[in-house]
Amino acid sequence: MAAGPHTFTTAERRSPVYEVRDLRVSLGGRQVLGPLDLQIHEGAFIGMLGPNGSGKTTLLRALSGVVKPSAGEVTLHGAPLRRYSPLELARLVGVVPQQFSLDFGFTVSEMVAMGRYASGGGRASAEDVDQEAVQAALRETSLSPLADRLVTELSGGERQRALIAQTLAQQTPVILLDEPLNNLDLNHQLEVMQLLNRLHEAGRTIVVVLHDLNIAAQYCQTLVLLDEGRIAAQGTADDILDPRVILEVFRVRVAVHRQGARPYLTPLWTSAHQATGQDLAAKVHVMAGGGAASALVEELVLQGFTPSVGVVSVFDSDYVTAGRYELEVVSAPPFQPFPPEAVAEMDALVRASDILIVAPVFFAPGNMDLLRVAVETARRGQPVVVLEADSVAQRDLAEGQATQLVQEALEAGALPVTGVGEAVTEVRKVATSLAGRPARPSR
Amino acid sequence: MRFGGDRRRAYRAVMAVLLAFLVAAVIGSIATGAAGLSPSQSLAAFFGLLRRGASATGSYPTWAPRLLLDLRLPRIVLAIVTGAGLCTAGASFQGTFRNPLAEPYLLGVSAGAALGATIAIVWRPLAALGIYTLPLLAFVGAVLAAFLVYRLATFGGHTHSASLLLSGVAVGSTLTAILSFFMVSTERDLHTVVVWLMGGLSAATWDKVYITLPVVATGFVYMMLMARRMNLLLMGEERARELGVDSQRTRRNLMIVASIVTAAAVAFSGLIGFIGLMVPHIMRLLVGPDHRRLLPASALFGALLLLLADTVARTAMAPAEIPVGIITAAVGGPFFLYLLRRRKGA
Repeated sequence: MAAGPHTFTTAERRSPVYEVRDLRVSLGGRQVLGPLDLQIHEGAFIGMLGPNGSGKTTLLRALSGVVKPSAGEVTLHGAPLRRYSPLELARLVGVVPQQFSLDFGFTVSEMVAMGRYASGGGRASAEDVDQEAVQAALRETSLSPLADRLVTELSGGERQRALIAQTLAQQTPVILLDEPLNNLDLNHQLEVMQLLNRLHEAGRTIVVVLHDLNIAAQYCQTLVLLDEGRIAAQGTADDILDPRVILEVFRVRVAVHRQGARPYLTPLWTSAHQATGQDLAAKVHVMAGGGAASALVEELVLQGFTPSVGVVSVFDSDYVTAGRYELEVVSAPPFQPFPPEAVAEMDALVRASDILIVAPVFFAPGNMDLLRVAVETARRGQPVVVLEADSVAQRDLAEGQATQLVQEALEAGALPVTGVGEAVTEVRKVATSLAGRPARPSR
Repeated sequence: MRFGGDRRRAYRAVMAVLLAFLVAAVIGSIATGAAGLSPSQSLAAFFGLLRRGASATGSYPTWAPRLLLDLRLPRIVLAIVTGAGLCTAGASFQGTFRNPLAEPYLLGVSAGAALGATIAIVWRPLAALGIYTLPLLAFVGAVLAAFLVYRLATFGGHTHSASLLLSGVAVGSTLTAILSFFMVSTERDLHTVVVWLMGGLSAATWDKVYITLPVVATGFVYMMLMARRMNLLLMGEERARELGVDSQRTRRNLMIVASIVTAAAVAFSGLIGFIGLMVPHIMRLLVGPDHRRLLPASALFGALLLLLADTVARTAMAPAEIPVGIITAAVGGPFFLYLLRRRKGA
């Protein structure tokens, strides 16, 4: 969450292409951007992210010179942007705008060739160079087969690619793109991102406004997160795809996973359960261990519950799962019996819960306190659900002790269920019966 | 016609055909007329004129070469120049405004010219300036109207196509209202005003050609130099700028030049409607929207159409004349509608 000027790219030794100093932009009398400082170095591959209206497009347009700063300055290779003529600028910076219309019947190759206006010679000797650039741009965007089609007859995605090809034909060292994946299907989204990656590897400087945080994290070297016209965060994908950062800027709770070396996130559908109109404030406690509860815990979280989990050993995969969703966890040191303080802490959580779920854990003397607490809970008359009670014998590493305790719990009124779905159904029943009643007083 | 490689060939074919038709139309136009010469006499006199000048003699009346030189030929050349001017100006207006409906009428330019001409006809003291009073005032009116519309539609350095067309219509209506007031307040000159408004080339002279031709030719050269930029402007001011065009300036200059060319064309011939709108449209269907081809094709086709229309105008009811504007509008309107509907259905 660094604020203020930040130096980009691994290639710190390279000179900055763009320097943005104290930039402010006002549109219609309202300040929509800034104050903002930014340096973009040669060869950078920057993904610009942020909620709608956060100023991504305005910042990009300030870099391309379309929008004039109301204060501060944007310099390109050390000279203020306003000193460049449109022709000079078009030889250095290519732009793929968000909006574009061409209602006249040019062919795709004619339209792409328009990108050669600034770079091309217009002289006969330059015609071969122009042709080569146009053909290459068509190839890169897989448009060669459509070269002779009329632009007015293309689909939205094909038009978008034609627009990208037009900018490629410009052959500029810097390329600015405003949501270039609009209208593209998954296949072409990846194709365009891979194309940008190739351009980046060839040394071009790329700034791309993206909506999809995961795609940005997969491809971009640096991410800039804008919020309300300012830079909220900037850095690597790991810095930006942080649940706290995303919650603050997008007001969405997310879980972060890893895909290869890069993070990716999934939103938690908190709004989905709000739409059902049910009060899902039911408190759930899950007895976990050895990964036996991960699927259940994830499903509960996705359905809008916030279960507490434990006791689990640190390093246990159930512990990792609970941590990913920032759930309340009672933990214990690994490879030893649960200490009495942990069991007492869990017991307190269970007493404050509306329902207890016992996951199909392997039971040994070290974690037998889980079942002892479960039996007491059932005897107190609190709802207890035992997952896969039938198979407890196969998970009993304590010579029948676990099987015995499960039997006692069932006799005390615990409900045996099969599968995560049934367990969640029981939780929803409790939640529904609680709806409208005063909340269970917590101690 | 829709494939890129074929467009170059289509363009060459269209230009060759148009050129052939234009030559044929010129010959036909020389051969016909109200003077009582037969077509063969007219052509013989024309070739005599070419070889030995106005004093040539042969199987035709001695006054025939002089008649051709002083009446028919300047009229033919003026029709060609005016037609080419109106249509290249129309193509430029449509290109710079990204609107296929943009043309001098819609942008108030014609109304400005008409008001200038009407003032010249109605306000007698001005007649002291001689025969150039009317074209001069028509010219001034057209250019002033264009500037006014452009100023009204520019906010904070940006000119929007929609506001240009809207202010064009508004300025045009206002000017037409003033013009109508002049018309009802004069009985004496009403006929003169009406005939000028309907458009016609009957008063063509070489002097008029000498004034119109350089303006139209210079304007055409400028438009051709700007043709590539006009193509880029079709994607909008902002996109054109991103690709290296100084959009605001290019657009303003093109609008000024197209207005001047329009003014030069209507100053001597009155309001000749519809071809400035129709010709670029038809040519776009044939050679595509690239202005490097569209402008020459529109110039040739506009020249051909106006020459044909004017030849009909002076021969159909000879010795009476039909104002050529009536012919272009009467033929152009329905044909244009047919084109639009056919294109929609295709």
